[in-house]
Amino acid sequence: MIDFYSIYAQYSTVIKAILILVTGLVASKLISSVSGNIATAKLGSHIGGITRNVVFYVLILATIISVLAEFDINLTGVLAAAGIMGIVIGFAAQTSVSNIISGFFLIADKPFEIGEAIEIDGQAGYVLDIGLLSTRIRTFDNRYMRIPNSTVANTRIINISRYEIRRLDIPVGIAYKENIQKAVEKIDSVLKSNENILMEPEPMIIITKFGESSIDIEARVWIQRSKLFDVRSELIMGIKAAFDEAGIEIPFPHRTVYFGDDKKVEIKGK
Amino acid sequence: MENIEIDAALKLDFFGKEYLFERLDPFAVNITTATSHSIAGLSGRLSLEMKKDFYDIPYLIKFKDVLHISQKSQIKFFLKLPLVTKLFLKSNEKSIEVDRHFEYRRNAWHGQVNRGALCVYADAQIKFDLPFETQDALVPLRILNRGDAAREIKKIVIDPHNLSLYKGDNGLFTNKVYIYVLSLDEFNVEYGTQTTTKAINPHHLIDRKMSVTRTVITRFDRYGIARELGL
Repeated sequence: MIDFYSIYAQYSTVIKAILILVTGLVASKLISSVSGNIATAKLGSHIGGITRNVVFYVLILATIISVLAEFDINLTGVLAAAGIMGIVIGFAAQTSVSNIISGFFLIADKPFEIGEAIEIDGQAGYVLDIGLLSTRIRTFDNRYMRIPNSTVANTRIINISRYEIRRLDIPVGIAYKENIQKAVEKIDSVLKSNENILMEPEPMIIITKFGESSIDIEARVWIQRSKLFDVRSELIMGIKAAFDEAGIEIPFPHRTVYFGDDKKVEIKGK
Repeated sequence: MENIEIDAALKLDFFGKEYLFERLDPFAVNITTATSHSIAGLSGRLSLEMKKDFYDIPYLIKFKDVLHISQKSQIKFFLKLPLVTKLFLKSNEKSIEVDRHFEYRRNAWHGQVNRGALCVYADAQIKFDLPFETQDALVPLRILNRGDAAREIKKIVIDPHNLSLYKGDNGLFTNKVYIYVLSLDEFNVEYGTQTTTKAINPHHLIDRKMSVTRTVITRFDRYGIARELGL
């Protein structure tokens, strides 16, 4: 007859350790999954995934420590070694840790989301992924760009696609001799004839300043974001054609250099 | 509605665009315009049909003259509402949309620039007594001021999802629309379930897409920018 008691007495430590290990593994999986799902529902899939992993590994670590304690392994030395290792790794992985923390801030702050178009560090493109260490972008000219999260967090970001409409400013200058009212009317007729310009908010034409070589005018129109390039080209072409037709001069910079009282040389150029 | 016979061609003028439909065999139709060419796969008895429809996006209609409404009074009139004309190639069971014509192509933004909706823009054309003749629809519109002060209205927003379209002997009509002026530049819109009694023998063409009538409250701030207060 099998004596279960003596077996248990002989192998109790091992059995307890196995039980702790199995229970710990199952509990880790379960708790990490639940917490991951909750975080996903409330904060999005990125934070959900990170939460799931962090909770899982912390619980696994706690399980391993508990198993080792069953075998009366003195954890003081292990923990001390782990502490020293932690400091060493901390110094070595300073940049990575900085990137990870920045990644958390990016995910929480949401200056952009996957799929949005952004301009960052002088480069513009679509966000492919926001990872723990880096943000990956496909630039508009189809290049793959990886930017460390710490750089992203400390750089000015322009989110190009956050809003559906945007304002387009078209500056143009007219010669000082020209009639400003006539020029404004010509620009107005170009704006009115362009179907891509939104009627509300209403287009605006403002005289901005006395420029070096011209009276500066600016047309400000609201358009759908997706039509930016089309409208910009159409308006520049339209205003140029309307000014040409009306004989309104768009001047280029003039500079007059004097040599004494009588002699002078005029240099014309852009 | 015009039929396309096998081994036959049919010419159609769709708002100045010349279409040529040629039945190649029992299963294919050649569609040619001055600038494009395509082949549609449809079998059976084929025909062409033009249908009127609402725009997919809300209408922002601006009055040329500001409407002043005195206290505890109302004003009612017919408002012209632009429609889209769609050209369909139809068989017994299926249909392919070949083209669509937009008379009004201008858009406007309704709401704050960072949060709002794209609308089709139209200048208001109104008539106070009898419905006028138009290819577009007429909205029987009533604006009511129940407040104690005179109010003014410069523009309104109408949601096509709350509109039904009726064809009468004297034109196309929508269901009745009521605008309640609440305070300065603030109003709400209610959509009725019936059309005007001025429509002669009306019958349904399009049912409204919203099953429950929605009330839209809109407020314009002093810069003329609208804010949605609830949908």
